[in-house]
Amino acid sequence: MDTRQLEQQDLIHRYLRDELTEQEASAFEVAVLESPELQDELEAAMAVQHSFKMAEAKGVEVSGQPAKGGNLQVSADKKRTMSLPQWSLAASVVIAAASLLFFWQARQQIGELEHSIASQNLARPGAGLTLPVMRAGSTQAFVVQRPASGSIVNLGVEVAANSAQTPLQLAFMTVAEQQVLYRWNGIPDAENTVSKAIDARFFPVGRVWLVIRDADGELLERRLLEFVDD
Amino acid sequence: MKAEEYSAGELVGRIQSGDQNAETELVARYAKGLRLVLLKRAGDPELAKDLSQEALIITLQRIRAGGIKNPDSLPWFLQQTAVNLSIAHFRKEKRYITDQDGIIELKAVLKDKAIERMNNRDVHRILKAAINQLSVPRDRAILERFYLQEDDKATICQDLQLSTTHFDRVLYRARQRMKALLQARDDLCELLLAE
Repeated sequence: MDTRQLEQQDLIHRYLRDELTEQEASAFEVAVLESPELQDELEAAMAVQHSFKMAEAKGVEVSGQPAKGGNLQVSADKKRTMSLPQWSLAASVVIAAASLLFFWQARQQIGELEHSIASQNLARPGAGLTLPVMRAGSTQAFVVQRPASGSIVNLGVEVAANSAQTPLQLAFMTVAEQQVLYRWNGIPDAENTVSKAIDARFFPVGRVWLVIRDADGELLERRLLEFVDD
Repeated sequence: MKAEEYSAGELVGRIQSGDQNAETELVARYAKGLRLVLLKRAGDPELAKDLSQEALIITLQRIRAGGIKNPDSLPWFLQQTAVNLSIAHFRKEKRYITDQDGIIELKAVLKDKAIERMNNRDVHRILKAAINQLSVPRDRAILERFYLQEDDKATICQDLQLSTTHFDRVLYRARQRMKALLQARDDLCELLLAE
């Protein structure tokens, strides 16, 4: 790959990301019209971009790194429902919304979380975990016990009342907020909760951000979570 | 003289003198580029195809009528026509809803018709096969972050502790592989580009 190809690659990607001025974009488009080679390169770049975006929308597995230290698989084949006997065998974490027992106060410095774990309920069929992330008066951060391996947890994220019926994008992200570990979309239900059945293996380890964005990608809320093992 | 050896100005001159072959050559030369430009601007493959055909028709009519003052600027005329058509289309397609707070403007709803024609299983299969062939698994995270999450190059390199050379190479290889895939697989072309 020579310098010219590198410059061309950069230009193509800046064009696709709308990082060119209108004048630069127009000049680039004229160059595209005049150059079959540039057309092939642009077409391929658009196809790669579109393939990833379409794959995400369709729930197709795109990357193959484990949750800790890498991206998570979002497999289209993942079973989202379990039978009652399976639920009864799974070691799910249950925190009833009315008796949320995991609280702490997050300090200004991210590295110093003060928390206390009061108690937790044992797993029961159909159990889930609800985090009142955007409820008025809710705490800044949560400690969450990671579900046991092999289980599936219904994770509920309670959002603000004015988010009802609005598509939201949620994600676990590394604390430096530079790597998405797991992401999902959802629409809050009548109880202002976005629910998602998540396999235990996708629950991160350690401290992460839970980030909530609207359909346009605008940041609505983020909360610090710490996932701990038993 | 081969078709591709004629300059834009010469092509315009031939069309103005009634050479119908020249009109065919003009379409063949500019159709793909126009479609890609409009695909970027319109975001919808079917719409891009429709608008690119419209742009070509407008351009040919203008040439026949002697309306292109500077024949060598034909590519610029085509590009501007394409831009104007896409702007006009979205102005026409704006929809508004009202809620208690006032008027909210919605973007035009664009549909990916290629996906609608294929069943879900085929879409999954095609996409998964394509993505698996774009890069080795360890490099897929780079592509995902760049193309899907739209992180910038510097951030990705810093996070994943890559050299920029490695990063550039991964993107370059993915594009070259995609080019080969698009040539070999009509179903992928249809799915991703509606072509």
